[in-house]
Amino acid sequence: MKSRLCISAIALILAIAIWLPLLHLFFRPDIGDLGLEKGVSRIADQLAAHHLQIWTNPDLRNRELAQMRQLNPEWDFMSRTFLVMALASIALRDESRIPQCLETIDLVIENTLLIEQEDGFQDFLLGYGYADNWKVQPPKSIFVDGEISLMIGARRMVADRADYQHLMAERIGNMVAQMTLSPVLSAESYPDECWVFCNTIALAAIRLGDVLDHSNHSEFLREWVETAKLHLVEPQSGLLISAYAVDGTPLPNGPGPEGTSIWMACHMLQVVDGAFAQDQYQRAKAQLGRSLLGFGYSREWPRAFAGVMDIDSGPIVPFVEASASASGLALLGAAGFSDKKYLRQLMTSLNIAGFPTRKNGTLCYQASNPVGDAVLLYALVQGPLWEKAK
Amino acid sequence: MKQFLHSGFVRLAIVVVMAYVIVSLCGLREHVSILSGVDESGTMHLVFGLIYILSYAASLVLAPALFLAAIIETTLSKVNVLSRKGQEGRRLGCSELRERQRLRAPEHAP
Repeated sequence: MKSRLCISAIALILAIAIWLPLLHLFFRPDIGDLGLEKGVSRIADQLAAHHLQIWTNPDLRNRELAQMRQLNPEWDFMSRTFLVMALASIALRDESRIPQCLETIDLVIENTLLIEQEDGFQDFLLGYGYADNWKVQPPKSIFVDGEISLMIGARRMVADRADYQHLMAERIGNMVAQMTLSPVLSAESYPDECWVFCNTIALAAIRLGDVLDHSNHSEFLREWVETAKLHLVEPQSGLLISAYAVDGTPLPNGPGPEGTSIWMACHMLQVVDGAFAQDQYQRAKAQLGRSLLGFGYSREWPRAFAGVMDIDSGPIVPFVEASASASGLALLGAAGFSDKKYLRQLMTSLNIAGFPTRKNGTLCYQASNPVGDAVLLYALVQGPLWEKAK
Repeated sequence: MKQFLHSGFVRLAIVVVMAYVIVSLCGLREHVSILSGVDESGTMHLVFGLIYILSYAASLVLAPALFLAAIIETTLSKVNVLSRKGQEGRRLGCSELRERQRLRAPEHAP
C-alpha cells in the first residue's frame, strides 16, 4: 500500500514536470502571425474586421464604447488612437485597403473631434480631469491633444487632407507652447499631472508633423530627450518614470517606471531618438519583461520598485507579478523593436489566457476589451508608419 | 491497458475533461469577459465566468498531467512487480540451494 502511494506520488510529480514545459507549444503562434513580415497577418486581419464591425454598426459601437466609458473614458479615447494607428498601418501595408481604412479613420477622427467640441476634452478624462487646479491656463490635456494629433498625423501619412493640415499644425503649436512652459518640457494630462505616456505620444505627433509639413522641431525634440535623461529617469533602473508634476517632481501615482507607460514610451520615442528608445526598451525588457515555461508577460513595476495596483496596472497576478495591461503594451514594445522571441512568448500567453473568440471572420479576445484588442491590432501591423516617420 | 483505465488518475482526468466540455457546451465561455475590466453585469455572470476559467485551467494543466501520471504510474507499477518477482525468484533460488546443500550435507558426512 505504502509503495503504491509512493509510486502514484512520483508519477504525478514526474507528469507535471513533463507536461508544464510542453504546454506553451500548443499555444505558440506561427512566426507569420506576428506581423513582422510584409502584408497583413491572419490574426490582424480578423481583429481589424472586428473593429470595423464596431465602427460601422452604430448600435454595437455605442454599446462597446459606452461599456468602456462607464469604467474609464480614457479607454474609449485610447481605443480610437490605436485603431487609427492600426488602420493607417494596414493601409500602408496593403494599398488595396486604403479606401476602406481611410473611411473608418475619418469616421473615428470626426466623431472624436465632435465629442471634444461638444462636451469638452475632459469628456475623455477620468473624473478628476474636471478639477480646476490645472497649472497652465487655459487648461488643456496633452493626453487628448497628443493623441488627436497622432491620429490626424497617421491619417495624413496615408493620404493627406488639406483641412487636417491646419488642425494638426495648430494643435502641435499649442502642445509645444505648453510643454515649453515646464522645466521638464512636459505638459499636463491632468491637473498638475504629466505622464510620460502622453508626452512621448505628443513628441511622436510633433515628429509626424515635421515629416508632413516640413516644419522643424528637431531642436525641441533633442532638448526633450536630454532633459528627460537628466530629470525624468529613475536612477536605479535607468527607466523613465511614469507621472510627475509640471515642475518634474515625481507623483505618488507613478513615481517610478511602470510597464503601462514605458513600453508605449519606447515605441513613441523610436521616431524621436532611436538610440534612446532602444536603450529604454532594453532596460524595460531586463527590468519588466519575463517569461515562465515559454509564456511571456510583463511586470508593471521593477522588482526594486513596488507600486500600488490601480486602474492603469489592472489586476496583478500574484507571485509572478504579471500585469495584463503592461503585458498588452509589451506586445507593442516587442513588435516595435522586432523582438521576435519575446513577442512570440507574449502572444503565446495571449493565446492561452486571452480566450480568443472567432465569429464570422472576426476575432476578439474575451478577456480583453476594445482598447486591449486595438493595442494588439496595432502591435501586429505597426512598422510602415514609423518607417515613413523616421 | 486495463490497469491504466482503472487508474484513479485517468478517472479524475476524465471528470475534469467532462466538466470542461459541459461548461463549454453550456456557453459559459462568453462569461470570461469578467476579465476584461469593462463588463460588470451581475453576480451570476461572475460565477459562470469563474467556473469556466477554473474548468479551462484544470483541463489544460491538470487533465493532461493526470493522463501522463497514469501512464507513468502503470509503467512504474509494472517495473515494481517485475523487480519484486525477480527478488522473490532470487530469494527462492537461494533458499532452495541452501535446502539442497543441507540435504546433501549428511550424505557426505564422515
